[in-house]
Amino acid sequence: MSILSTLSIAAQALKAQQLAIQTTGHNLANSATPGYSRQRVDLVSAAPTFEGGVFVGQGVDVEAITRVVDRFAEAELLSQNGDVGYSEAQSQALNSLQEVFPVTGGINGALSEFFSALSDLANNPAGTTERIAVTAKANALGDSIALTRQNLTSLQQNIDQDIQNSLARLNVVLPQIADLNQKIALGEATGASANDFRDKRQVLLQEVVQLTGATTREDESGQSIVTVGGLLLVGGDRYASFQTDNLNPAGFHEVTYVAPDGSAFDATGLISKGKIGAALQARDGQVQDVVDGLDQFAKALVDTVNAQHALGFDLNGDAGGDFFAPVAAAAGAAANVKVADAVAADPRLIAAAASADALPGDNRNALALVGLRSASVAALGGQTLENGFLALIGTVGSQVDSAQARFEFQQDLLSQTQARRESASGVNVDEEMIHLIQFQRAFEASSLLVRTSDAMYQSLLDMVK
Amino acid sequence: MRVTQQTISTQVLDGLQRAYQQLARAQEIVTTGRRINHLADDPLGTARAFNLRAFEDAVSQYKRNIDNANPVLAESDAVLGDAVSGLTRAKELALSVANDTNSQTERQAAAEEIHAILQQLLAEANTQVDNRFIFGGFLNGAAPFVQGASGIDYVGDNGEVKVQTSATHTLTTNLIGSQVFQGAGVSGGQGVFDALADLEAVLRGTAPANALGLKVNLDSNLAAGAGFAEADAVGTEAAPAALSAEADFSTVVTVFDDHGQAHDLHVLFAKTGAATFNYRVFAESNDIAGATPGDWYQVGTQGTLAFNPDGSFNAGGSTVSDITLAGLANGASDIAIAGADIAFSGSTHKDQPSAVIAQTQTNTGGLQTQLGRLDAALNQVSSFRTVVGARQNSAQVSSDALTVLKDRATGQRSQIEDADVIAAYSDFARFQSAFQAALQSAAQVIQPTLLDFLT
Repeated sequence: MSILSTLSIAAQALKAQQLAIQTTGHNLANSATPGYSRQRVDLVSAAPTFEGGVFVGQGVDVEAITRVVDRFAEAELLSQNGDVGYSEAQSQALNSLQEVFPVTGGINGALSEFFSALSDLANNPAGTTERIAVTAKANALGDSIALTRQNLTSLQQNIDQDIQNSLARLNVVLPQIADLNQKIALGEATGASANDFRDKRQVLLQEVVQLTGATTREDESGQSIVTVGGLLLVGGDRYASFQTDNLNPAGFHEVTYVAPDGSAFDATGLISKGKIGAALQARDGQVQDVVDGLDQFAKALVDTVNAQHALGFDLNGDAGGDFFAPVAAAAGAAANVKVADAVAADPRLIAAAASADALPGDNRNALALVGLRSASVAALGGQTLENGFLALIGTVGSQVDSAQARFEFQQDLLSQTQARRESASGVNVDEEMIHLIQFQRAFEASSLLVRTSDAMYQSLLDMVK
Repeated sequence: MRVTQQTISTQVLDGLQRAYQQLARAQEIVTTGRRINHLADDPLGTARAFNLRAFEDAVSQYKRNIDNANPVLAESDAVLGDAVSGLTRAKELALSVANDTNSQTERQAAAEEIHAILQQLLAEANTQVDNRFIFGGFLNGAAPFVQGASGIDYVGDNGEVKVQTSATHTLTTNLIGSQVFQGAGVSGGQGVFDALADLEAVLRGTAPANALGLKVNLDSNLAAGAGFAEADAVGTEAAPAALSAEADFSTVVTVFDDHGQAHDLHVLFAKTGAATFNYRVFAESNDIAGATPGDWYQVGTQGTLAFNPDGSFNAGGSTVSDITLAGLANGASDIAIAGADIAFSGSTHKDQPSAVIAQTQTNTGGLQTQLGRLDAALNQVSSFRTVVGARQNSAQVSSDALTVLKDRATGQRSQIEDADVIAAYSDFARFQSAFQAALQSAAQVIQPTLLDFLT
């Protein structure tokens, strides 16, 4: 027991409080940093010494600076990020998909107008105006279908671009995680905690999970292992990457996985979750289905109209040729619905008559063409043309509806988990201010202790004089 | 639960975002006036609205089809109306000159007017609506009625032009010219143009010959005689009693002259063999100028008839001579019936005595006959006019029904698609105030920290 030891207590206390104030400052400074977990200086009383039959306290010790985290919330947040990434991308893609089909007009309106024009032709089968109107409305219908298909294709291209960007982002993020893994392992091997590296890695991991729906775990040295669909993305300091310049036969980007050892292969089918998974599904699934359906509808339209048209006779008394330019296969048909060149050039070639001997007043084939409106079409599963088209877009609406609901639900879940994480790890400025005052007072008191000890020394020295 | 500034600001941002989304959606509804702006707003409603709109389009088209048919129907009605008046006028004219007191000049004048009526009807039968000849069937690009070598020919076809008046029903808009004006395919059909042309010819005195058809029953019980004893030559006169005594049976046939006056012809038959007859034709003396009153005046040389055992006519064994009523007392043109226009047929009714059992007269030369044909033509045209009237009526009824259908569909679609304006505005106001409230509370919650109170 000596004045010196009191001084030493004061010195240690000053140091501890200063560290606490610094940590509080660090917390305050990062109160708005995404992914930051507040840190706490763990103060403990120093081991007492046994002097003169009593244990005498030896002041304060700094045991560690720890990061306050709710590990469970943290893990949940990771997996929910994958779900949100998936449902958000899906909801966005489907939303764009539904905007391709306006709720009024569009293909349906054009189809209606085409049949109306045919009906007008039936009213006046010899009329030049009516004939021109039929070709014009038919071309308008074709344009409308082609435009819709083009919009669908460019939607696919946009999604494809998203996929490419996401992969590029992964190529940036994955090495960073590997790098942080290394730093954390090195730092923590010495017994210290690599708080800020962990926070930073957590943010990056969230991003990877959001993009790919990957699963993560931590090995005993604190390094993250990230895998998706059996592919290793990051393991310790090793990391994979993605090539973004390989195209599949449809002209869209393949997801080419390059393993840490440099071997590469197409992993498009292996990523089914996260933002990329949803985008792949939308590009190759939902949107592609609509494109295929539209092609099928277009081919059915062309074939049905042409078949009936061929049964009739034109104004010259010749058997009807192709009304629409024929399309060979369903694939790509929607882009090529237009009036056959010969008919476009000479509307007299529209076969409105059912007999070459009943010109020009015979309107029976025109009426038969009008009748196609309510005829069932085998190529559309026995539905009428109109209903075939409605069936095509009918599912889009309900898909969007449920995708939106799912996205909102996932987001609510995520918000709740974020709140839980924030509740543990977030920085409350008021709290930190109170800590600051607390530590400041302790610091002041410790300074006073120095002065008091000093005074005590002085007194002792004065005694000797 | 620990709450941090971050928690609050996240919550505030989430809340504001949500309130703003609601506000934007409400605003979209208010500005577009539509409840459904995207497929997902109401997937089921969108599909129903699509269907209803397609239905409305179709109904509008059906109405347009009917509107298009109406002028054709109206014009057909007008033409048939004119045809009825024309035929009625022709009938009046024929009646007015049907007695002897009218001079040939008056009859010529009537003929001229009937000619004009015929020409007018012909022109109207070639009426066009919208460049289409409405009585030509499908071949409506050229006039369906043209003047041919022997009357007016129909060069159209039987095409029925139909328009769609509902998904399942069509309305025929045109009448087939050959049916209306020529009676083709119509039971008891009458040629309107032919009747008028023949009437004109009768009035002008250029009528074609009459024709007769007589059916004779062969009675095997009747004994064959020697035939007629009186002299056989045109112009020979004899007392009716003497002739009747020589004949086994007789009949009276009425023919008309071009004044429309009736003349009785007595056809007397005398059996000369098992199935052979002689016959003679006489006019009454008061019909023939200069004949001895009371006598019958022979108007054709004696003819002979032979029948096969089964009763059928044996043309080879028969001689049928011409009948000519010349020098008519009323000054009308001669009535000539060529032998070729007289047809005999036989029949064997064992239990009935030999007699003429049926007779037909086609007295196209007679005004009375022409009047009968005019009546038939009038009936025919009128009945087609009724058809047109019925179609017009049906068009009107369909059109009215379509209007109701369309209004109903529009109403239904509006209920599905259109925003309830009052609800939309009140929603908008509600979301707006919610948004403002969120903003204000955010402003108040975020501001104060301990820092505000430390200094």
